[in-house]
Amino acid sequence: MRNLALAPVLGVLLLVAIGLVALLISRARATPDDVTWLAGTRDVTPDERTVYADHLTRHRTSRLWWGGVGLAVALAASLTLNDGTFTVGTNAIGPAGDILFCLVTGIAVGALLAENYRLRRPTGPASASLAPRTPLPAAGTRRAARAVAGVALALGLVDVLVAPGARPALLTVVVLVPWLLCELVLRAVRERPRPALSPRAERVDTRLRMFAAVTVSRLELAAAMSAALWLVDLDETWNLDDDVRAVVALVGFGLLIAAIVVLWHAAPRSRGRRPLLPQDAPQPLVDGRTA
Amino acid sequence: MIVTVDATSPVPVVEQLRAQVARHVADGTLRPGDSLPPIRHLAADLGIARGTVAKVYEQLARDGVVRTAGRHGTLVAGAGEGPTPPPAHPEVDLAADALAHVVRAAGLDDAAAHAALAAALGRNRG
Repeated sequence: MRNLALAPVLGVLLLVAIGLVALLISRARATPDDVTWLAGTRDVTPDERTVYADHLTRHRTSRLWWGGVGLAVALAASLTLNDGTFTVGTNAIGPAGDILFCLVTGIAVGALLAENYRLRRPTGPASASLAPRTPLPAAGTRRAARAVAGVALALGLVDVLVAPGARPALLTVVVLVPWLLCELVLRAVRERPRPALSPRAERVDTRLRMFAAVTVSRLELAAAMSAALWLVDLDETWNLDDDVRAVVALVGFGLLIAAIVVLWHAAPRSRGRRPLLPQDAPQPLVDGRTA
Repeated sequence: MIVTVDATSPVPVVEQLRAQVARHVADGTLRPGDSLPPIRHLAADLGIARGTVAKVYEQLARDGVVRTAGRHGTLVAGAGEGPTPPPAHPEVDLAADALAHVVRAAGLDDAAAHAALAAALGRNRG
C-alpha cells in the first residue's frame, strides 16, 4: 500500500529532477559575460576566452553532476529510510538523508575532479618562473571555515566523551568529510603547475586559480557549517536545561541558514553580477549595461 | 626569471637548474633576500622530482648562493654571505658549464675540451 502511494510521488520527483538538470545544463555553458567576470577584464584574446570558457564550463558541469548525485543520494535515502520525508539539516537517519550535506559533498567531489583535470604536458624542455606565486584570495573565508570546522571537531570530541559510543565518533568523522574534500581541492589549486609561457598566460592561470580559490573557499565554509550543524544537534541529547536547549536549537538553525546562503554564493557563477574579486573593476556587459 | 630544463640534454637536470638559478643571482635578476619558489612548486612547474629541486637548493646553499630561512623558505643570500663572484658574460659561462658536463659525461680529458672549443671558435670566427 505504501509502495503504491510512493509511485506518483516518485514520478513527480523524477520529472522535477529531469527538468532541473536540463535547466542547469543549459546554464553550464559560459557566456561572454561569464568570461569577463572570470578574467576581470574585457581585454581577452580569443585563445584566452576559450581557456576561460572551457575551465568555467568544466567546473560548472562537474559540480552540477556530482551535486546531482549527492541530491539523488539524499532523496533516495529519505524515501527509503525516512518514510519519504525530506530534510535539509539534521534528521533521524543520519547525514545520508540530509539534502544539504549530500549536496555539499557532491559539489566538493565535482570541484575536486574539475580542479584535477590536467592537460597533457608537452614533451621537450620545460620552463618555470622563479617569481613568487600570487597568494590565493579569500584567506578570511578559509580561516573562518577552518575555525568552524575546528569548533565542530571539538564538539564532536565532547559528544564522544559525554556519550561514548560508535555513533558520535562515526558522525564526527563523516560530517567533516566534505570540509576535508574542499581542503584537498584548495591544495590542488595551490600546487597546480604554473605555466611560464608568457605574462598573459601567467595572468590567465592566476585568474583561474583565484576563481577556484574564491568559490571553493565558500564551499568549504558551507561544508564546515553543515558539519557544525550536525554536531551542535548532538548536544541537544545532553542533559541540558530548557533555556540552553533553546539556544542550541537557535544556533543550529542559524548555522543551517548561513550554510545555505554561503552555498548559494559558492556557485561558479556571478551572483548579482558581483565581481569575482573586490579589486576587479565593474565591467560593461555585452549589451552595454554596467555590472 | 624563467628557468628551463631539458631532460634529453646530456647535461644533468640538477646542473642545468643550478647553473640557471646561480646565473639569475649573479646578474642581479634575483636580489639578496628574494625568495625562491618552494621545492614542490618548482618541481611541479618543471615536471621533475622534488628530490632534484631539493638537491639543487642544497648545492646552491653550499655554494653560498642561497640560504634556508626556516618557514620563510629559501632566500637568495646577501652580498658577502657566500662566494658568488659576478660573471662578466653569464651566457658564456652557462654554455661553458654545459660543455664541461658533456666532456665529463663522455669521459674525455681537458685537452679534448680545449681542442673542441678552439675548433668551434675557429669555425665561428669573424
